[in-house]
Amino acid sequence: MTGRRTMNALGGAIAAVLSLAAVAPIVLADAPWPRAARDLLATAGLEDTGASNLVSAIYLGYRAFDTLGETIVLLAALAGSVSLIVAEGSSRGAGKNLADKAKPLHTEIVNVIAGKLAPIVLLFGAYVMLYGHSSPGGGFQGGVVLASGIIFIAIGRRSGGLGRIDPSLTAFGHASLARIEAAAFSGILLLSFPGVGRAVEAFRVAAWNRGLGIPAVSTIIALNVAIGLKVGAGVALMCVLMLGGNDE
Amino acid sequence: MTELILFLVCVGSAYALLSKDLLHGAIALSATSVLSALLFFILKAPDVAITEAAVGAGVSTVIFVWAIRETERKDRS
Repeated sequence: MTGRRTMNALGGAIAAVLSLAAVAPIVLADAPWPRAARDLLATAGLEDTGASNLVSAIYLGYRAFDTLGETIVLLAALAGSVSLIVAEGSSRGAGKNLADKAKPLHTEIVNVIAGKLAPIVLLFGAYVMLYGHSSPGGGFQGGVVLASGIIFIAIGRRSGGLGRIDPSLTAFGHASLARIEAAAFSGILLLSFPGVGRAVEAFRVAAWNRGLGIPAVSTIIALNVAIGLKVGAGVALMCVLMLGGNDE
Repeated sequence: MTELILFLVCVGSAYALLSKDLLHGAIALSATSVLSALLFFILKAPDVAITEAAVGAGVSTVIFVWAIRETERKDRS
């Protein structure tokens, strides 16, 4: 036992030294930081994209292709965990019945969370998602808040704590969640291709010249909505499957 | 204020590492996330604060609690 503990301490020390060695050149080097890109983004970023939140302006207005990569990472993580959950559930389905474990947890706390808090959380998520261009937030943040709301509703549905809300209104089945995620991901793929951005911009300028006002920020709003739906549906799908929502 | 929150974050993380009851550890991690979200908000990064609160305190706690329920609550080592 003590041998294992010293091994652990040794490993921790080596990890600390390695991370110091990785960070040290950045701290010690006296070369000036590159400033051209930073200054350009700080001065022209808001005007170029029409957004008033510089973070959104950069990661959706200039670097939508990077954002596409981030969503692909998220998609891979979700695909892996969902396949694990599904395989695990099916392999021991004979031994353990998921419905047996779903004890009725009908308490006041669950009632309040599922029946009263969940709609507010969903509304807040939609707000964060839709107003990401002008206030703090964006697709990723709003999507996770939306997923929290859907998880609340899933918990309430399992325990019968939804109060007076009609259960059929809250049918966030995993099949529909998966469909929403796939559709939203296709939307991100389409919107973040460089040529599509150019085409949309050309269309927008042409429409602007003919008196049809489409603000420049509309691309960012569309991307935020697509990312929010994708992240929200994906995370909620994983958690609903985990909670044992296999009953439909 | 920042130092106090950082200290509490360290305390929460250390408790989460050391506690033998995994459920207590998961709840300590969740509290640590809430404190970090407060810290991000104080440091004028409200969008990161929203993410930290939703992911750290919300979704990841659900995942941890589910994993603990499916396995064992006590750390045996």
